[in-house]
Amino acid sequence: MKLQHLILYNIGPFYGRYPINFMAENDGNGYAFFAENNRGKTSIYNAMRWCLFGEVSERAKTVKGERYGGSKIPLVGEGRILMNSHAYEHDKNQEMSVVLIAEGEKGSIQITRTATSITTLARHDGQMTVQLDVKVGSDELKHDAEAQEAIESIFPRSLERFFFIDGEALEEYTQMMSSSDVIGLKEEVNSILGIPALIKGDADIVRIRQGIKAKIDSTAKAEKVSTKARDDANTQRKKLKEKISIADKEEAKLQTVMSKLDETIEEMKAHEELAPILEQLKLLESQIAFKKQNLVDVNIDKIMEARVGWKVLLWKKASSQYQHYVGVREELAQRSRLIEQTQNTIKTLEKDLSEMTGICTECHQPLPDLEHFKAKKESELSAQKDLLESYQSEDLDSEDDLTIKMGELLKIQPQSDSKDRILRAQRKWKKLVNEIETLEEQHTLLNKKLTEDAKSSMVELGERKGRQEAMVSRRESEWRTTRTDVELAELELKRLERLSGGVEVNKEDYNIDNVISSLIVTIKSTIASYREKARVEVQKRATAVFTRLNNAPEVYTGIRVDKDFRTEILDSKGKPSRNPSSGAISIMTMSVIDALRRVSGFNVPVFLDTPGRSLDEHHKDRQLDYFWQTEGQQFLIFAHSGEYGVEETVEEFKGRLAKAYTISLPRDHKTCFQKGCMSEDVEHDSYNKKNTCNACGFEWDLTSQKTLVLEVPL
Amino acid sequence: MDDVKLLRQEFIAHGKKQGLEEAFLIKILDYLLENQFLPAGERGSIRDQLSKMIRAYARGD
Repeated sequence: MKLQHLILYNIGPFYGRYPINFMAENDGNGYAFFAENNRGKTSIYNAMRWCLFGEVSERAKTVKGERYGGSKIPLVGEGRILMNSHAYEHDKNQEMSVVLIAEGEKGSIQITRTATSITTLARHDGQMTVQLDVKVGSDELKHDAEAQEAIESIFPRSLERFFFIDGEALEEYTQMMSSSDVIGLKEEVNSILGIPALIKGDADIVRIRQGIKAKIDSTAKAEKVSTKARDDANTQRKKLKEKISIADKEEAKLQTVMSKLDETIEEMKAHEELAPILEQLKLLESQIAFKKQNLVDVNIDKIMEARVGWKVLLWKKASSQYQHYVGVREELAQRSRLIEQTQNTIKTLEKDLSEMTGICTECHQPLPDLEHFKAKKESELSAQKDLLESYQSEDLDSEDDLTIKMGELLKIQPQSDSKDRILRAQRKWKKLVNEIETLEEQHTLLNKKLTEDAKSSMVELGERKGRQEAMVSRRESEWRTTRTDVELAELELKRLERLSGGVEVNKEDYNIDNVISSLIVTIKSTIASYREKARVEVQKRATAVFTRLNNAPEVYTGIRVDKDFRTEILDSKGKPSRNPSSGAISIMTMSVIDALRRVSGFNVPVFLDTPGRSLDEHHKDRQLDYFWQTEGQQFLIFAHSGEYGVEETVEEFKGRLAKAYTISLPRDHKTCFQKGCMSEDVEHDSYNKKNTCNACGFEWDLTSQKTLVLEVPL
Repeated sequence: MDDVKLLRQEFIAHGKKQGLEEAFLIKILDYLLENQFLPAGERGSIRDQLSKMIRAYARGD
């Protein structure tokens, strides 16, 4: 990736728009920003970090190999902020942006990150909206998270420290590289070597394989079920065949009896003209049979009724005697009453005679004709006695005898309707007998119309037909049972066929699984071997760079990189150097960072802030001599004028330096800085605090805070 | 860009031992490198793409 343009807007000391061109006319890969302190070189360095990653942190600290990140520099607010303070305090709409334009493998890359206040004066980052737009080659414009993803694929954040190198923090790298506690560095070394690609790729492919495996297992399971179902289906087919055979036999039997029945029916048709007679005969026979059965019942009724017939007959005779006894009983009662009455009369007469005084009891006068009267009374008495005797001499049964006789007779007295019922039963029986006789007569007459042969034939046919119909019914039932068995067996077979069919072993899945399996082995094998080879390569390259930059090759002969990528400087005997100089350590660190970066193959620009820190003049020159080669990545330094002199550096690295800029304030310039002028003939006005170029007439305000980014002519 | 060849060489060498074709191995490795910094929780689309590549290769496309 080659950086082409950087456009700063209201960031750091840069108020307004500052386009910086990185397109060089020569083949150099060196870029330099020179400035005094607090002029903005680190702000350019940070502006690019913000553009790429969305945030910038203060310098980190490292304790025992563990890196403790510095606090995030806010966009706006109190204290140190990323936004230009003038824009923040005076602009109506606070906005800052960085545009980075580069050329990558996929074509042109444009990254634009813009922060805009959502209030009149944003007091903290929560009141700012940040928009990120990334356009890579012919891909569609991406925004925000998707855009950040695109940046990560080119410029991974986790590798930031290998490309944005802070010279002032070089000790941090050194400490991490030599520390026995390598947790912080190990992950980053892995990252720079591309090992996450393998580790994450391995995890990804294992996940993909799980899906394929599940599908294959599912297919295999289904195949197992299918195989069993196929076996079962074969067995079921045999069973079905047997059942069909049984059903066919039953059907054949049914057909046989049906055909026989048909024959019988056909035969019966030959006697069709006799059929009505036969039908009539059958009807008569059934009627006769019915009536005879009825006759039995009626006969029983008649017999039951006739059981009291003797009483009816006897009573017919005895009833007159009974009536006689009733008459006698009445006579006896009459005679008793007469005897009693006569006896009473006699008693009255005898009393009257005995008590006769000659005085009338009523008028108490003496009776005139007493004797005559007495004789009359006596005569009456005698008549009464004769009458009584005649009554008493009558020959009549006694009352008791009469009651016994009447009781005996009543025993044979039938019920009043017994006779009627007997007669009714008799009539009913007789009527039925007559009807039967009539029917039998009709039957006899009809019967005479049929010959014996025809009659027996028809009877025989009828009986046969009945038997055959019964047989057909039985056979049909048996056949239906076997057909049901067949249908059930067919259904079961279809079910088994469904289970056995439709499962096809997908060879593609097995092929995919094989490819995945091979890929997993490839990745694991690569991880196992690559790290060691990379270590050897890093050691080799770091030693090469170190040897080239080191000013005492006879003392410090190389760098050892152990399996955990901890580094040591080796002495002339090839053993770890006990007390290497700070310059040698810094060079070792730079060499290892460079070696790691090169082994990783990440082709992105390298930004080195304060590059001369901890280095003496010799090492500083050699550092640029190495990094500003005509091939390889762009290498940008952000140097303090004390680290590298502008003119000397430009002079020394002419041809390898693609672009150089100074960052300054107007007051820093004692010579004219107008492009094409650069005259030293400048008049200083201390009263008005301004300088005037006598050559071109350009004036500049010495109190101005507007930062100047001036390209150094090469 | 000689340096990236080390990883690529290793990957291809091991992949070839497994009977995989070089072009396919390069395609897979480049894709993995390109997306190596995407966190695990956001790698669904990466897996989909890898799956497509593997399927295409398995089919012989």
